[in-house]
Amino acid sequence: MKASAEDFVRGTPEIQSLPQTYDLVNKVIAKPSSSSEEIAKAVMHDSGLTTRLLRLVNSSMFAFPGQVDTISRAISLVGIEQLRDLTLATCVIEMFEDIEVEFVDMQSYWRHCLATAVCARLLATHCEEENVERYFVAGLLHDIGSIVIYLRGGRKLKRLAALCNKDHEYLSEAERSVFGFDHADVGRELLRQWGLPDFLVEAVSAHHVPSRAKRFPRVANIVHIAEFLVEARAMGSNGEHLVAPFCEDAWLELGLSTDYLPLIYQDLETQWHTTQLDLLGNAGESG
Amino acid sequence: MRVLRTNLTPGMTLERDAMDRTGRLLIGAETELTDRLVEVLETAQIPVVYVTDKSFEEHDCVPDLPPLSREQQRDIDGRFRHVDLHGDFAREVFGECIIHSRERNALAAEAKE
Repeated sequence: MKASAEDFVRGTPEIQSLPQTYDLVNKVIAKPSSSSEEIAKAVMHDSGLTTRLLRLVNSSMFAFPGQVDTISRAISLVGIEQLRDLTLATCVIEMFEDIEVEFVDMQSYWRHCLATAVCARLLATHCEEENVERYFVAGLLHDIGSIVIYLRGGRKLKRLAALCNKDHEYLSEAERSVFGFDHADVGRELLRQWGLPDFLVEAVSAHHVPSRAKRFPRVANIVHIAEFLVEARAMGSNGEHLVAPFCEDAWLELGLSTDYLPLIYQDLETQWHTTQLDLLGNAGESG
Repeated sequence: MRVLRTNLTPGMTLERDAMDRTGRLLIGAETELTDRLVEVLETAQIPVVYVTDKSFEEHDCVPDLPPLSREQQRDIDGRFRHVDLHGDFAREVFGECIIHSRERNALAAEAKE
């Protein structure tokens, strides 16, 4: 019997649950009586997380005047919900930091995801969406299913590589031919397993076919466009060497003018380079 | 009228307040932009502001750039092989990629000199 996307996730024990730090921060934030100090204390429990979060909040992505040197200050500037989202982003990067796979260069993978995250956040800012950090996380996680496929794919990965490199199929199509599902399906199952909100689950699940998003079409459209812009400029790669098919309706539904394009690319380049160093450390320095 | 940040020039007058993303007032309406104020908007990464100047028109800047090599053009065409370029936005992004590659060629040529 053929394995399903769900089987792939269940069969990968190293990624079954999110780091405890995220759980802890999430639980403290979920308690209505929690103060900013209690939330800050939960974050500071993990010194690596604290350092990365502060570097991120001080990056050009936020452009706050002056240095933000404490988590309490970061909370007052970015907001509690936003801090939770940035904590999730940071924890996921940490969780996958030491994972190596053969099919893809993991540094290039994270550069691709980070560029999509920054671009999704920029698009959300231009669209005046609330809590643009949620879009950043959606962009960061959109291809997370790829890692599971590369960990669980075994000998079938050779066939996948042949379809992509020799036959020039785009990655999702090749994955469906080989496994019967693609990385968006696996990502959806992984985010469900982690108990993440439907907003993120649907963004990941529908990022290649945004018309499939029924509850949160906006985020699916934004992540779809962000990945298109990032692939067009070949900013890192999740294993995809081509630009995946683009759904023009996603752009039309956003209602932005194409005049924004040079500005988006200009800001994307700047913010992508600085956040690579802030979030990925040495991994972000090449290419 | 609405103007992209990158097209702002000193001398323009703000039609509306310019706020940062947290809602903090940066520059009030009816202020004439100076070099310093354009820099403030740049630093805060305000995407668009509203100015009163009716005479201002956005011009597409078409730079004089070296052409792509055949290999570069083939590479871009190949990477976009699955994208339907009948759509306005997709075509715009494709064109932007070509300009970007030409800009990189210009930079590489400059570095050689």
